[in-house]
Amino acid sequence: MAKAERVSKIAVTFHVPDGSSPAASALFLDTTVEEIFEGAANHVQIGNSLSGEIMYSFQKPLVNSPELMEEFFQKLKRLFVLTKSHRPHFTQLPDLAGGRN
Amino acid sequence: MLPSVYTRSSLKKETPTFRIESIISDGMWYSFSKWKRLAQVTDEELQQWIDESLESGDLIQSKTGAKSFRVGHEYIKEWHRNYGAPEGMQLLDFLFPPRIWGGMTEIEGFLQAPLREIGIVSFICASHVADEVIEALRGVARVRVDQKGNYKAYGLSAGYIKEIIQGVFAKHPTMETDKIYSRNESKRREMVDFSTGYANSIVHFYVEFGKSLAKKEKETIQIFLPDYEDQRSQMVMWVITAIEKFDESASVPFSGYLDSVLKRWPYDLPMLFLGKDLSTFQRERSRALTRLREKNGDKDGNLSFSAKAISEEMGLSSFEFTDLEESHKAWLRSQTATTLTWGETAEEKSSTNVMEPLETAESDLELASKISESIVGAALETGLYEDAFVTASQIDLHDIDMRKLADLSRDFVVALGRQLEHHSE
Repeated sequence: MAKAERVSKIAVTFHVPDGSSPAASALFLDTTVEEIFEGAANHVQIGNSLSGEIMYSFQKPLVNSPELMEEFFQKLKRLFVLTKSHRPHFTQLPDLAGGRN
Repeated sequence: MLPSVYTRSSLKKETPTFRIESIISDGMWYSFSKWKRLAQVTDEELQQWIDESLESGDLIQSKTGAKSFRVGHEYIKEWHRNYGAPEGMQLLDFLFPPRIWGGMTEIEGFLQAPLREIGIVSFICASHVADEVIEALRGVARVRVDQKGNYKAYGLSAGYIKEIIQGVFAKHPTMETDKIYSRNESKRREMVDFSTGYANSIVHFYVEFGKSLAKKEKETIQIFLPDYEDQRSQMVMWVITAIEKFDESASVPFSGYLDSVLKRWPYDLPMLFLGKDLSTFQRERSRALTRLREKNGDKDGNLSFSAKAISEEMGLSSFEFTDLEESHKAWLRSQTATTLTWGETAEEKSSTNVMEPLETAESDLELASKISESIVGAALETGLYEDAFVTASQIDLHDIDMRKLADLSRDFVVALGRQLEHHSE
């Protein structure tokens, strides 16, 4: 098994669908993220909110227990399903991204 | 100076008056309850503001008697000036900025171009006869060809238009196809009733907005209009038709009306492109397949069914079914020559045009999204969560660290491959 860096957060970027309102998307994502992660997620400011990219960071389980990890990934799974139209994908937080485009 | 964007929670920290004004200052119609909910104020706070503003003339109430309110462009300008904010600024992250086109709010534009009573006469005839009708109706009515190839004459009096058309038809007694099949009085406006600046802006805005409204109908639209430009042209036509029909006196937002018609109009496309028999057959066939899958516990759509089973489920004789099925297949073949994807697994496979560009920013996003979803799936499948974090740490990086990926366990990599295959189907 690979040895992972114990970075405490994982980031996901969403993209406002063509023709959609950035404001409406932001509202939808805020509601969805809050419903699933209940305060264990933060909106990451990555510039103008109207740019079409919206990033959130998620607190990983502090304790590496299989139950907590499974719960965390189940939440991510639900998030990806509910926000599919916003093409969610993992990304790197700005200060960790290094060579991010 | 205002901050650039308020969220619901940050807006709540402002005074009730500011919250009330920030909502209504987009120039749209608001019912009391919607306004109160968005501004997060009490009935009393809102009612007091309404009473004062109606008296000062800042606020306009619907003339229909409904409890709907709006403000005019002058108020919007002054309000933004008072707070040092540019008029087109996105003040609230849950509402569009004021839509000011040609110096008017969206509502003011509609009120200046109200619906008018018109007469519409629909007729069919040969094209050279239609040319004569158009000439005879010059100055009386405008003739347009609808999507089915039928003619419609729009003017003031349907009765008068009909008489003129009958006069032209009488000169061609041998043309048996000439027929006037309906006439009615209706209400319409024309795009030329608006100023050019307003007309261009409202169409442009709502064509983009319409795409998001018609998301659920996107699959239907793509089947019949696989080409992006055709889809956009169709959306332009729908938006213009909606603008021409929208009743400004109802004191409701145009976006609500557009939303309701875009839930219906895309479903006219099958009839338009296929004719009644084939479109009904396709709809019934799809329903029959759904029922068969339910009966056989086939949740994932893995089973395929024989023509006999489908025809029996549809209640058609094998002769009727075969006849329509042939037309259906021929139609599918013509569609798969372009970019169509027909989502009925098992029987009709998706196809894409080989001439499509292979790499685009859009496809990169799709790929990143699929990989991310697959990582989550593989983590849940194997319980190898650290491997999932390592893989996720390489997404969206300019320089991927291959050493980290080389350390992934074989079980996780195999599961990831399986998930990717699943998400690419």
